[in-house]
Amino acid sequence: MTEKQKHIRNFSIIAHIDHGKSTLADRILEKTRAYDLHEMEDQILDNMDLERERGITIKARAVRLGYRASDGEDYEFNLIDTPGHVDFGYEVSRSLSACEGALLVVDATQGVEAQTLANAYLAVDNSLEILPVINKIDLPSADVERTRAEIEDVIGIDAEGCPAVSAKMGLNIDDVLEKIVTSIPAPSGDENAPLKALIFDSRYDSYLGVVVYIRVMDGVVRAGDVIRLMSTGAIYQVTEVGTLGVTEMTATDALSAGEVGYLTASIKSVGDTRVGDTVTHADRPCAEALPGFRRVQPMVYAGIYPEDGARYGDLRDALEKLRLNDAALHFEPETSIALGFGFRCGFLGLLHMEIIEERLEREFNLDLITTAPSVIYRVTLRDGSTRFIDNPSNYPSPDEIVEAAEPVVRASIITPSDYIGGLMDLCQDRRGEFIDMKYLDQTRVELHYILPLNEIIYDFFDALKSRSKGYASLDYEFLEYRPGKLVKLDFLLNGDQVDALSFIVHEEKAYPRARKIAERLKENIPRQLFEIPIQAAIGSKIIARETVKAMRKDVLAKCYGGDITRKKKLLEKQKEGKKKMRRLGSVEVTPEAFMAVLKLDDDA
Amino acid sequence: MRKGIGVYLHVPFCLSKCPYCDFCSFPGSREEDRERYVGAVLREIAEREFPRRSVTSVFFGGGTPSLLSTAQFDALLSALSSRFSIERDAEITFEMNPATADRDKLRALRSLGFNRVSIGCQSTSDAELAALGRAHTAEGFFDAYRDAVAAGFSNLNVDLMYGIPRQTANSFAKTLSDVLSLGPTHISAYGLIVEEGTPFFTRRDTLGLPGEDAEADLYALASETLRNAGYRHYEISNYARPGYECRHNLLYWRQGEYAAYGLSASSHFAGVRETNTRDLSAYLAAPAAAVSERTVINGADAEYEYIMLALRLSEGIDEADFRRRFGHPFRETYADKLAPYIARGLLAAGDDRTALTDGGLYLSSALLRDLLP
Repeated sequence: MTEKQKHIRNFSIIAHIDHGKSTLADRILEKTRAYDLHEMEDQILDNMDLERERGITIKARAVRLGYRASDGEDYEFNLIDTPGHVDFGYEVSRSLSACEGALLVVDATQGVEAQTLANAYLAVDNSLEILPVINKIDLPSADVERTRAEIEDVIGIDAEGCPAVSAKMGLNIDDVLEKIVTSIPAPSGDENAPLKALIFDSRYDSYLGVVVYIRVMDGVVRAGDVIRLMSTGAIYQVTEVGTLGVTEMTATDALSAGEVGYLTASIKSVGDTRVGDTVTHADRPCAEALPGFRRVQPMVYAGIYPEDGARYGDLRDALEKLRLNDAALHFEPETSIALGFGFRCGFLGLLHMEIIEERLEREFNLDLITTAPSVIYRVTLRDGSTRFIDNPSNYPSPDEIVEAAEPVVRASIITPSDYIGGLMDLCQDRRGEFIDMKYLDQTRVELHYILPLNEIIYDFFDALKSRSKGYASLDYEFLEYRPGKLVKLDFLLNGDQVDALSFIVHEEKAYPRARKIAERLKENIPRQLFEIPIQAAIGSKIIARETVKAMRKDVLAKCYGGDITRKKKLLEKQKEGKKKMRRLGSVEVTPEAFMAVLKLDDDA
Repeated sequence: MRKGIGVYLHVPFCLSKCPYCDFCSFPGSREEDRERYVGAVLREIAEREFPRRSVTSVFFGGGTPSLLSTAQFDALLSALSSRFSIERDAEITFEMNPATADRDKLRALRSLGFNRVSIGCQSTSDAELAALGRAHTAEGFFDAYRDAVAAGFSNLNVDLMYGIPRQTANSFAKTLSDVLSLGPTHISAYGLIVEEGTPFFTRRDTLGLPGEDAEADLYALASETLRNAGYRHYEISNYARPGYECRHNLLYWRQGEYAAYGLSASSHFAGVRETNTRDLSAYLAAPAAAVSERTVINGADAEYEYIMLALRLSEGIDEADFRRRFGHPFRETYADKLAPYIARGLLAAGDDRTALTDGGLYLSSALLRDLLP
């Protein structure tokens, strides 16, 4: 270990959502005087507006800090922030593998939650030293000793003497800083070995191209070096290396083993720099890439269409801009008979999808229609071929299918024991397969289920929260594909099938869901000049039906000399209101109709 | 020879404001308020430059014109007579609230030259009248009607309303038969509109409004009952014995020309519509300079207004008249937009005229929106 390495600490902060990760990061930044206090905006590490609003971190960021410890020595801290949501599990794991240690923040009023556990396991998997930090000790309901015991019992790590802090009040933060120095190992790695650096994040900058965030494991990287990205084999010449400040980047001569920083190399798209990939020198490559790399695959697909068909081009431009910075976002053009031209988009999960939708609407001022999200089904056909179907419209007809399989996840739910019954009913209702149940302590339980992904992508999280008064927490990971009796449910309006409303459902759910959606559609189809039958069908078999009665009255009862201008304006206003409607063949439908298929929880 | 014009005169006073009313009217006026107002209208008649054409109809509307005194009616009508040449057989109407009827006044108005009276009945159910906040009872209406007939009026309109809170098909049928037994020449039946800004709008959810389907049924009931009794359903909300269609209102629907006096009144000449202010004090201060809105209606706007108004009539759009006014045919020009309505039996298109059918009239807004330029 070099003298330099001895004074470096690379760490992340991990926590269940709302346990105070970002606030603790802010206090650490403050204490290490990383930046001018006056310029501070709360939770600066989450530097997207949306993240701040939702109080969650979406994109990982890193920052280098200076700290003079009580031993009198100066240390360099690299704090690598991690995304705080289950959709971004892979990104979290790559961020963690860039570190030697992790601060595990646990809310002293809530105790260990599902994501506390999931994140702790991720850290253990990456051989990190875990430093528990008990937070929110200023709250009256804080129970430090109980939380400490829970960390030891449930996670199985030593919490004796771990810092108990209030990040909000700035209490005992020095304790945390000292523990970072004493508990978290310094990085090792051979400066003289061939370059081996981990990409843990990247972002697009319109001047520099892609800024790649790296942790150097072995060797040294300098500006001018010719590098190779090992997963793609792509070669680039490094234009700059440097360290990451809070608001600025500082170019340096080199980054060497143990250090965290950035490099730029005229890379055009973040899609070319995959998180988890290994950077090495083209002329002196390392023998093998770092383990754990995989291409991030979208789990959830949905069609996104502009409400106004004329804005298709704007939507494409907006998606392209977002993709510059979000390698996990996939999209390709798609055409719907019902909705016209749009895109089939792939997301890591439902939160990722919501974030993208919201950014499209907010930052690019687009009005969108989104179809029901779908998972990717694996279908084996009679001819022996296998197809992955991300769009229900492309689902083969039943007589061509030998086997249909759907993705299932292993889900962990942590809940106060009072709500076990309701949550087990919920999982049962969502075709969950019970694995086991563990008491974490006398009042809290961890439930394990195998659940079909398509049962949890719509509204499962909301249902979970409403059945547990907000206390239950969820974490899940992809397990495997499992064969199931899947059917494609179609909807017909006035006899015409509407492709954008089709979705795949398990056979045993088809009837109740068909009825419910038909009812919802009825609420979202205004009465028109003719009666509109709404039919739900599996193949050619109609399994549910509703009717929107014909309109009876649409008239200006009075119109005399003094009313003409006003009545004409009224008609114009009504026409403007109708523009929001989508025309499906002969039928006008509110844009909300396409979301009608999403809300399925009977309790809601 | 040029066609005759109409003259409208607005009287914005009422005994009380009905909770569904969004017209320009003021309750609780005093005699001196009315006197000042009439003075202002006389000034407007004297000073305002309208074409001096021969007049085929005069209409005193409101508000409640019958609140005016005989002397005030006399002064106004005389002023109009000296300004325009009112044809001998012109239709001269005033609107009357039954609560303000007075046999002597009616007789006096008849002798001044008024030959048509429009009585605001609304319903012959006292419960419904109360729900509407009307200042009269059913008996009051019957008395007023008989008084008008006794005073020499033979051309009478009765205003009815349907879609009244808690109204039923039976109660409306009774109102219709009560009114038919009087044998008026003309009946207007309006669906209650709950306009934004009225007390009814605030209470709309608890009023017991019959709803769209029931209202459509009541509309159909009126149309059927009145047609069986010999009335022509000649406009969406209007029925008349043949030959008694309201001449003045037909001017509006046929894009005719009319002068208009008084608060908020709208005139129309040579493609220009002028509307007076709704601000009473502004009007009183400068009655001849009170136009607050002047709209030049030409090109597509004129054509659209023509269509919007003519399609209210059961006779619909006359191809020859349309072509003369706009230089191109109606049916051919709008063939694509008309086709679905024709296919559904909502619109009847013959060679000479295109008109909404009985079933189509009550859905006319859909077509009108499609036809908007």
